[in-house]
Amino acid sequence: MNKTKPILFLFFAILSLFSCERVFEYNLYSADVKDERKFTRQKNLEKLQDIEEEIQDQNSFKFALVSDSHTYYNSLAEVVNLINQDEEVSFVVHGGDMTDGGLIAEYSLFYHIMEELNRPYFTVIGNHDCLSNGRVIYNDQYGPENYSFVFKNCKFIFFNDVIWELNYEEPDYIWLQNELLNSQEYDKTFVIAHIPPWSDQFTPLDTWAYKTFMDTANVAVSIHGHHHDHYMGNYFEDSIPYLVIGAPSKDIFCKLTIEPDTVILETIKL
Amino acid sequence: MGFGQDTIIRYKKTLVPNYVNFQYAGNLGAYIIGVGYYLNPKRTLDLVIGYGYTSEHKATIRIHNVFAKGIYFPYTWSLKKRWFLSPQLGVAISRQFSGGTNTFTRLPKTYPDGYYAPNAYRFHLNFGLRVRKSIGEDTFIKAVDFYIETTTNDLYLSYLLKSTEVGLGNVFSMALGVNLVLFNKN
Repeated sequence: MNKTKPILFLFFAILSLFSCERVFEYNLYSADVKDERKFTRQKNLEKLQDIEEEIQDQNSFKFALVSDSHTYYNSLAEVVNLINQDEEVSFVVHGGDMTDGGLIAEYSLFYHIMEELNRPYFTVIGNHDCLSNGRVIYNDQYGPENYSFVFKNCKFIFFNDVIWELNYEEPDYIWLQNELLNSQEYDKTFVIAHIPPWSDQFTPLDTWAYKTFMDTANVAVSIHGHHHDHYMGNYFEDSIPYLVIGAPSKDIFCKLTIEPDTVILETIKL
Repeated sequence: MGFGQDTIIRYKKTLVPNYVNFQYAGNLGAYIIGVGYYLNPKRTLDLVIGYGYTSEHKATIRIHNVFAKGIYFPYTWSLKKRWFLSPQLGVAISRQFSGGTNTFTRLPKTYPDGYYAPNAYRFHLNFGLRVRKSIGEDTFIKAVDFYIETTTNDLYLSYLLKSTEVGLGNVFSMALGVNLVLFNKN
């Protein structure tokens, strides 16, 4: 018998054994986040502290924004590469939908690409990230969905406003309200929530609640994703600017430069 | 007729499987049990119907899978007495149950038409090697198969085709399995 073919088959089988990220994958829908990824946000916050010390003499700073990368991994990698070339960027915000189906494999691929960033990054959960068991993975990999930090006396509030995928669970407006209570203590306050308040998932009451919180706290910019098309404007014709970050699949991301008296938006085409 | 007095011939009924299948991993569950059927007299086509269980310990949440897998054996080589080697190519369809409402076979009414594609069914592709040890026709277990296979699925392949950032190592994983053959003839 010709033994070449079975030996070749065996060779490829063994080769693939060693080339797998996870040699044995039990389930696509599994939610077992690797231990080293469980403190991703904490590690990024530590990096951010170092950056804040480095630029303590500057009175302005810049951060980059990307959203809705889904499974467009080439576009996301290109964005990461472009951000790495801009030394003025202090950190990166991802506006949600880092996955398409909330699968562990998609969270892993996103994590690997974002590891190439030489800045810290912060995420907000999107509706796609909640599919399958994505919410469990998100909480394990990044921590609580609602959180905030202060950088250069500006407050950044990350707020989960996904409604449909969470069985009509109401966004935690009380938490948001409490976070905004002391906004006058900061130079500027930014709220990052995946779904724009005029979008499909919001009822008129949700829209009114969100808009009222933004108005009351005089938020500098309310930042969103979800629609994939870039938008910047006073959607409700009041004093609050709303930014919808375009998706990398539409060849776009943006940067915000925060100066004492103004906020400057740059949109970058890939 | 030349049968001895105490020879017992067992005839398989149509729905009685030819073998019992046990598998570890391979995206159909951590622990998998199934039944296998020979689909043709040449025994180059098999059908396995099975159930996979993934415990909370393995996946953080408990997941149940049911699947049907077709396997094609293009060649079988005789290695030495009673040992046979076959490459195997398989396609499977699986349905997963992990609780909650965020995996579905039909788009829930919550969403507008076309908002999401149904995500509870997956198609799997696998290839590997099977070694069969033939024990005998008179024994309860006629043969034992050991196999190793590498597996992927429709979603992972779509990532691979869409992006150069995704490598083979991201989309393939391994499975190990054993079949206990109870009926060698249909």
